[in-house]
Amino acid sequence: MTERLSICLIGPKKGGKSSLLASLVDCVAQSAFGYSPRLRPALQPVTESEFYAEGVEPKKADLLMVEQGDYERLRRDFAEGGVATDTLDTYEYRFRLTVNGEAPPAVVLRGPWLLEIIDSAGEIAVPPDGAEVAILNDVKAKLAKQMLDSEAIILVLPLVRLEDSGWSGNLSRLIDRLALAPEKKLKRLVVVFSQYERLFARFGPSAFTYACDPAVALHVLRKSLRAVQWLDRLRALETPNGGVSVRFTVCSAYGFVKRFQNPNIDPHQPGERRFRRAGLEGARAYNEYWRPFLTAEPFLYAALGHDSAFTFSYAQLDARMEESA
Amino acid sequence: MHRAVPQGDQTAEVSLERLHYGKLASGATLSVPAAAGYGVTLRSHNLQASDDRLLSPPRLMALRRFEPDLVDPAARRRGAFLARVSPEPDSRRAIFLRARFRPEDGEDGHGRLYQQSAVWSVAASDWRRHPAALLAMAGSELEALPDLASEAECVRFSAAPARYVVRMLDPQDVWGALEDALDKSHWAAPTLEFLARGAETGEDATLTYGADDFASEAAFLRAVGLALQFLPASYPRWREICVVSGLRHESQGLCLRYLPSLRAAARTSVAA
Ligand SMILES: Nc1nc2c(ncn2[C@@H]2O[C@H](COP(=O)(O)OP(=O)(O)OP(=O)(O)O)[C@@H](O)[C@H]2O)c(=O)[nH]1
Ligand SMILES: [Mg+2]
Repeated sequence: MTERLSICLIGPKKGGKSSLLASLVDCVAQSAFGYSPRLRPALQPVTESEFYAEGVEPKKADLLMVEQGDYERLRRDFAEGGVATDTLDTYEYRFRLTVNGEAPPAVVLRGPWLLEIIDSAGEIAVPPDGAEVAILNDVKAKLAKQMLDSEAIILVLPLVRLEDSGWSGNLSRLIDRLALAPEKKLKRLVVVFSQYERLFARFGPSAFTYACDPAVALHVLRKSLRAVQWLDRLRALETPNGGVSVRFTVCSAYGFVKRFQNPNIDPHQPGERRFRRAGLEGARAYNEYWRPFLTAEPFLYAALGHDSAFTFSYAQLDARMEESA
Repeated sequence: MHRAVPQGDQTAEVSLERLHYGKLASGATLSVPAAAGYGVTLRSHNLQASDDRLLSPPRLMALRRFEPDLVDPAARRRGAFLARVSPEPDSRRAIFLRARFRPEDGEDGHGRLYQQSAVWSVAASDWRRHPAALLAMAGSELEALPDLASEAECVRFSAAPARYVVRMLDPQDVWGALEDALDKSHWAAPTLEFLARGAETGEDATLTYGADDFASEAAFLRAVGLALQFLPASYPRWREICVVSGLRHESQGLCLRYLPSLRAAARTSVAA
């Protein structure tokens, strides 16, 4: 049975929301996630009318068809260095998700899923602390309603720029408001730390091997979350009457270079760009080297409620904290 | 502030309200500091915050969302330009818009892009009376530059409207210049014909010019300004006229458009 659900991407500006979404389809296609490859998920952008149509048939794959949809545009913008999402509206992207392989019956018996993923500027939901950000009232109201109507929220935070987190006060307040909202549909919340590959910048070709170890990710999450003041606020969402399952994970939209396995940031290009094949244009120039890392995790967990080797619960984080205490 | 001083020729004073949307910047290359986020960064004091919605760039461009690939590659640096009566029903204002995407790490940077725009708002009646002068002025002076982070908010939000003195054109001179253009240029006849047909059919249409027609945006605006100045007061679709440069999107209404990277044979008149 077709299941429709909405997922809101929330987080401070420049945290990596749009990049995470832009790399989602490639991540699923390359199976660059921590789920069993036998799960065989498939994800395809669909139009608004396909999303709302009754029995949705999968589109025939037409490799020659030039996709000019909103998602194609997001991917192209990401390839060209990214565009800061404006505050004049919130932006919906729609997908059809199927699971074709082995999965727990609870997952397999449902679906396909029609996902509506909502991207917006960080300034709207998590503005910098202390800054009086004038956002159009109707845009603020639209996003607030979308958050309350969403089955899942993905909170995207930059892993290594957490120190200039001049937004954590506003993030705490947002979480409190969510916890208190009685009319919300929220079932799952995933906290994802972006730009994970940066941590391994000095590991060269060993980078990918370390990154692929879930124990390393768990360690990094515990360390990053140690000083975070909103962590206990978030717990309130999960308590028996909160009814939300919370997970923590890491990801990298840039990922690691195929075959060479080093972090995919080219030191010879101005700005911070991925490695690219000289002589090719646009997204194609990157494809030879680009393998995103775990950017499917937050979305697949949000949609399926199914854990991967890289999604961690409070219980998992706490277990180790007690050990080391 | 200038005063309108008639000096032989008749002049009139036009008052321009200003609004900027984008991010604050600093330094020699105007890069965006980490703390700066999107917002209205300047609003002259006669505009209300409640006008922000009406003056938002995608709304003025009749777009759901303004995106980098909608800007003609040859217009990237200064941005797309648009002039029209503001789209709300019975609007009494006309707007001029310059909008572009610039790197957050400064003018020649390589970082993420963000949207920066500047709007002028004038009385619709001034636009009706002085299209040639206003197009020339907006074309040369309306820039989508970020405001400075160092500039106090109270200054940016209490800016006085800009005032310009424009010369009233003698209809005889306008006709003379247009007659001249009909003789010597390619654009005058199709433009006048386009406007005449638009009045007849009442349909939405776009007339697009390219690099072979005009060497620059300024030349295009000069030509269109002359044609609009020539239109009689009774022209029925004045409020639907839209002058556009560097935007790869067809607006509603009667749209006269310039795409600097468009080459011969591609010029079309499209009914949307
Ligand atoms: N090193 C590295 N940089 C990344 C990665 N993903 C995104 N970035 C960079 O981080 C910056 C911000 O990314 P965005 O995806 O635009 O962030 P956002 O959360 O959508 O930001 P707003 O739209 O402003 O709210 C961009 O300059 C990206 O190039 C990554 O995986 N690794
Ligand atoms: Mg974004």
